[in-house]
Amino acid sequence: MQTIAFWVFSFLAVAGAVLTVTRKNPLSSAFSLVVSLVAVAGLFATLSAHFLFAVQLLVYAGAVMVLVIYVIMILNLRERDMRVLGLSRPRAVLASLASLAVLLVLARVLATRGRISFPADAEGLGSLDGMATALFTRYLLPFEVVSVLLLAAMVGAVVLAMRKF
Amino acid sequence: MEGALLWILIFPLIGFAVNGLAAAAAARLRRELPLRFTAFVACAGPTLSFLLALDLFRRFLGEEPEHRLLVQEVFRWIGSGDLSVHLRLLADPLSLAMVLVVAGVGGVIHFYSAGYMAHDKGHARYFAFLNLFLFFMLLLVLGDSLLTLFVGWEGVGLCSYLLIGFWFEDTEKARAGKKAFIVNRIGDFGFLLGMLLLASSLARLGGGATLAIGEIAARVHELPRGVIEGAALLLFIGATGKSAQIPLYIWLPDAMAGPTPVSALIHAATMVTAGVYMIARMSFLYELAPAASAVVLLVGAATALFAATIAVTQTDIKKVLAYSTVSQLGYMMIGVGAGAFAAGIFHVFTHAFFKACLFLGAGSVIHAVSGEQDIRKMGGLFRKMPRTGWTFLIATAAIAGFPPLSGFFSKDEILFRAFSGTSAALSWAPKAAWVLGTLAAVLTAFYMFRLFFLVFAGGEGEKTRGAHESPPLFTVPLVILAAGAALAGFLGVPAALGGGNRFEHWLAPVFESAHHGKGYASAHASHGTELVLMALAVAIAVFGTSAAHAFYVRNQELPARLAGRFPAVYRTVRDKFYVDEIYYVLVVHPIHVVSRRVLFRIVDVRIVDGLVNLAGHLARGFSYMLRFAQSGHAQTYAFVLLAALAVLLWKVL
Amino acid sequence: MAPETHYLMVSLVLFLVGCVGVLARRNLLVVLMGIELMLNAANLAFAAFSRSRLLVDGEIVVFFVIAVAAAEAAVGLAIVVALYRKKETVNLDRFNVLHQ
Repeated sequence: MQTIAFWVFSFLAVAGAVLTVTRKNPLSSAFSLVVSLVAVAGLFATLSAHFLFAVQLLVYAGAVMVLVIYVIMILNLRERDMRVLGLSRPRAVLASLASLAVLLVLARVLATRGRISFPADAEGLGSLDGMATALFTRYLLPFEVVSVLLLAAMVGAVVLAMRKF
Repeated sequence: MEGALLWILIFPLIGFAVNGLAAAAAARLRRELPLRFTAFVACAGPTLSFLLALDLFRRFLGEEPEHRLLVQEVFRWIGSGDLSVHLRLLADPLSLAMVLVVAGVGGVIHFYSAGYMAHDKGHARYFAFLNLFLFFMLLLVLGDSLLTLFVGWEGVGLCSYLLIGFWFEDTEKARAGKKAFIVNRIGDFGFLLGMLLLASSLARLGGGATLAIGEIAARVHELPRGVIEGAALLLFIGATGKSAQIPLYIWLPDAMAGPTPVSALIHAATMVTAGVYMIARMSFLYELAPAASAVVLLVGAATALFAATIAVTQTDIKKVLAYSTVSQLGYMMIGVGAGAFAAGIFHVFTHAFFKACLFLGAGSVIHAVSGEQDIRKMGGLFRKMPRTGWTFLIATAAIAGFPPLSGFFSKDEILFRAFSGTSAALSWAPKAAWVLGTLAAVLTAFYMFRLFFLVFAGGEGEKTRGAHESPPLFTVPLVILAAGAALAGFLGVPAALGGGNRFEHWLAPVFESAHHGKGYASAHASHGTELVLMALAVAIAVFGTSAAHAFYVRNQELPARLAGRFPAVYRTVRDKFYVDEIYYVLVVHPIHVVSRRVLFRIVDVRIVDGLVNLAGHLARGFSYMLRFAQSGHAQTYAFVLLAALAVLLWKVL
Repeated sequence: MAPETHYLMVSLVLFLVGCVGVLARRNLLVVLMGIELMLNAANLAFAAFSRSRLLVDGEIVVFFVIAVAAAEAAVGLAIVVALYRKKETVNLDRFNVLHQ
């Protein structure tokens, strides 16, 4: 059962990703990305990371992508711009080659590692309980820092969008 | 008191520093320096040095001959790998004798200069240079290593240049200074090669390289014959430059462009004798090098005769004396070339007195006739300048070789040793040298008295109208020097005349090894031979003098008539055998042409500048190519990142 | 269930696809999306490791990455808006003021 879920969600994630980077229309790219993100949320679920599954859907697929689509709409690109902004053939070739290289290297590493299976029982991993405990004890400082970071990002975004450069 | 040696050197150096700085400061402040100040400072140096040397001499007399040695280490100069050179000062009988001459005669000339340069605006600069010269000359003489000697050697060359071209606003005079320096430099190259040959040969034999003369002397027997001969010859080349022998004598006549006291000091009494001194110092080398010594002998003899012939026809009072100096230096070379090192140095000693006296006398005369130097326009000055006249006469008689004046003893000693000497290299060389030397002696008496008669005897000349005797500052030095010229000979009275030849004995410890040499048998010819030669010398002097009298007093048409009969010969001799012109065509002009056409146009402009420009162009080109990496395009940078990551991972994993 | 290795493989592929997107696209917005893809890939890997070792720390990391990614997206988009205002375009090729 889990295996099927894994394959389905994996396929969706990769397909979504490929579409994201190949579509001419940025809006199409954005929606493809949403699909990919949701699929990844599903993958989280298969990994018993329930809290993450929820957060991914809410924050990433929800808030962040909405913001992106929002900006795309504001920019209001014309059709002719979109054509120019499509995939750049030479760069795509080069980038693919480089990526392929990295892929091969790391795939070989994975292969030598061999199949490592997950332990059968998750033992309460990924539950809200466990995460909350960890967050507010061991990871309290990063938690507070990230809060400040979010504040800074908020202020920064406002400032950047406001100013007349 | 060991510090004495260093002080002998330092006093003139202090004089140079004080006068030099004062002159610079005065020039800046646009004020005049009083002559009294500069002259005092300048004369103090040599006087103090002379007194110190005198004291040292007194102490040496109290010691046994073997113990007459004083070494003072100043500091370690070079310590590089195998080579270790210390600046050490060495006082032995030879160097002390030279110091006394240099400081003594030098001091006298300094006082004379105070009078001579009284009206010259550059007197501070003059005295500064004169003191500097003295410092270098003393360093040359007191140095215990060839390198120290060479420093002094170069230094006196420098001062010679500075003083010959003293009135540098006159291009001709400046050119004379340049000529002196450059010709000397050619000789110095030979000297340098000789030094390096010695040092490297000794280094190759093991035991370290050294240029300290004492150490070289101790190890000279280890050196192969070729090295010894080669080094001796190369060092002699340096001597031909400094001591104005053939072929590098050409600068000395031109050097008369400098002030007359300079001519007296540098080009008669001291600097030019440096070559002779050097050979005497390296006597242990030369007496193991019969071939080189034969060269020295023959070159000296040839120079003595050659210069004497030119002197006969010269009309400038200083030029006559200049060629005379070249000729007398040739005698000194005959001396050291024949292995008679003490005799050569003795002639240095006596020559300093009478030549300096002659030059200063000439200066006095020139001063009296308001700068005229052509002797044809002079005459009858004896009545008007008795003191100058008498001292000049004494010095002239000395150089001509009249006994019992000093020149007789020193010249006779040299000629006797040449006559009776032997050479392992060229058996006929010593006798040939004697012949040439004797002929030169005839001419010497002739042209010197010609000079005397033309200047002092006879009726009034064109320019002698307002002439009168010079002030005491001129005449007192003349008297002192004339006294030396007259009496110095008694230090070297040879055994044949019953004297003890104290001079030779004084120098004996230095030349001990010379007596063990393979090149020369010490002169064991009989006293009888020597007496005959002495008689011959006197006869020559009388003959030359009377010939001069005949030509220039009794029958004054004679010289012109003789010249008229052989015009080509006369012109050639008078024009110095066109040596300068030959050198110009053979050497100077080709070098100029090559410099201009080849070295300048091609090498400098095209090659050197081209290379420099090429470097610039290459840098430009490379940066042009590399500029594309800075596209400002973020994706390019990111791509490079990824590619690098791929490589890294591949390497690491 | 699928072994950890498979999850890592997926993560790798997602990451590289995101790379290609970042390198090959001229549209600034799409490049941003590519960056988000890469972050996601990393998150997936962390989650897989966390499940493998039964430690919650990996998931904590994912949590923080999501938070930071959100902040970054906000600021990044603000920059895109500002750039568009200045240059009237989102074509990356036009943004080469640092060009030599």
